[in-house]
Amino acid sequence: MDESLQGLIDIDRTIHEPARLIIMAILSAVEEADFLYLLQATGLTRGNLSSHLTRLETAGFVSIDKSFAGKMPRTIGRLTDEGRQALATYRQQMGAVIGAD
Amino acid sequence: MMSKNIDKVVRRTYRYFYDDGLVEMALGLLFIAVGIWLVIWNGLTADALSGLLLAIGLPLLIFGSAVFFKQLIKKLKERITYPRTGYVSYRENQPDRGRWLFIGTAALFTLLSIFLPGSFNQMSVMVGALLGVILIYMGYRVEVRRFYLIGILSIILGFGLAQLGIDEVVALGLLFTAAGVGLLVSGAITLILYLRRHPEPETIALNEGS
Repeated sequence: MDESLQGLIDIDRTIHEPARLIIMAILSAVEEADFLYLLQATGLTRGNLSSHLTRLETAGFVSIDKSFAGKMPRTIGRLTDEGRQALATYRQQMGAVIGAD
Repeated sequence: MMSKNIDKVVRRTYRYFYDDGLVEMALGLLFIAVGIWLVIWNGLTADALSGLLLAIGLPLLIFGSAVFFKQLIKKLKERITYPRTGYVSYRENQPDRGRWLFIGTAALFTLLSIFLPGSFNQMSVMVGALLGVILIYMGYRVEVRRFYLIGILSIILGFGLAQLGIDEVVALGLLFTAAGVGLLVSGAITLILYLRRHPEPETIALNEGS
């Protein structure tokens, strides 16, 4: 099989989902971001965002920290090294398949 | 296309830093301080002390203000921006050519003022052009179009002030002050619009448990 097509088959479906790809792209640009920012930036509902973050956390691509800012609870997300690498690989694979660059 | 869309998301994330106008206002105040410093320094008699004041005082003013404003912006963002549109912390070690362009320009200006005092001849043209290039580059990099306007204003002001026949250092001081006022006004308008778009949340939690 053509190498680029093999790359397509190997694509990580956790990242390939558009909402999760946007979350990963946002987190790749920052050190960390809280739930409220991700909510505003992605336009997802709270429930959707929460479930996508959980999925990314389970995959080891995002780490989630829960703390308090004053009396308000705050959830902060960070891209892990594994997540950063996975996003780079995904971009490379998609670039090879559809010449996306 | 996919890659461009990801880049667009990344650029939009960088742009968030400027959404509230606080950075522009701080930069504007810094420019005004430098402008006033130059005008005051020019009024001093030309002796070793005034030379020392410019050589040491100006870099101290620039870097001292930069440290002060960095802390101030952080505090203000914690109070104004984060509760409304969320908290973001940017990576310190990411490559930022704009930052280096700014530091390089400040260093060049400082070195010129120390070693070539005579080079203030037509300095307002050169500094106006450099400020303009930096602001236009910043505007391009983070897609903040209003920076283009202030950048072009700096270039025009630099040329305009050089034609007035006033003292070159005073011209330079006026250039920094005018560019600073431009940034301050632009930042204030941006902040007002931001506050109108995002009223203070009353009971919205900063997050939901994921």
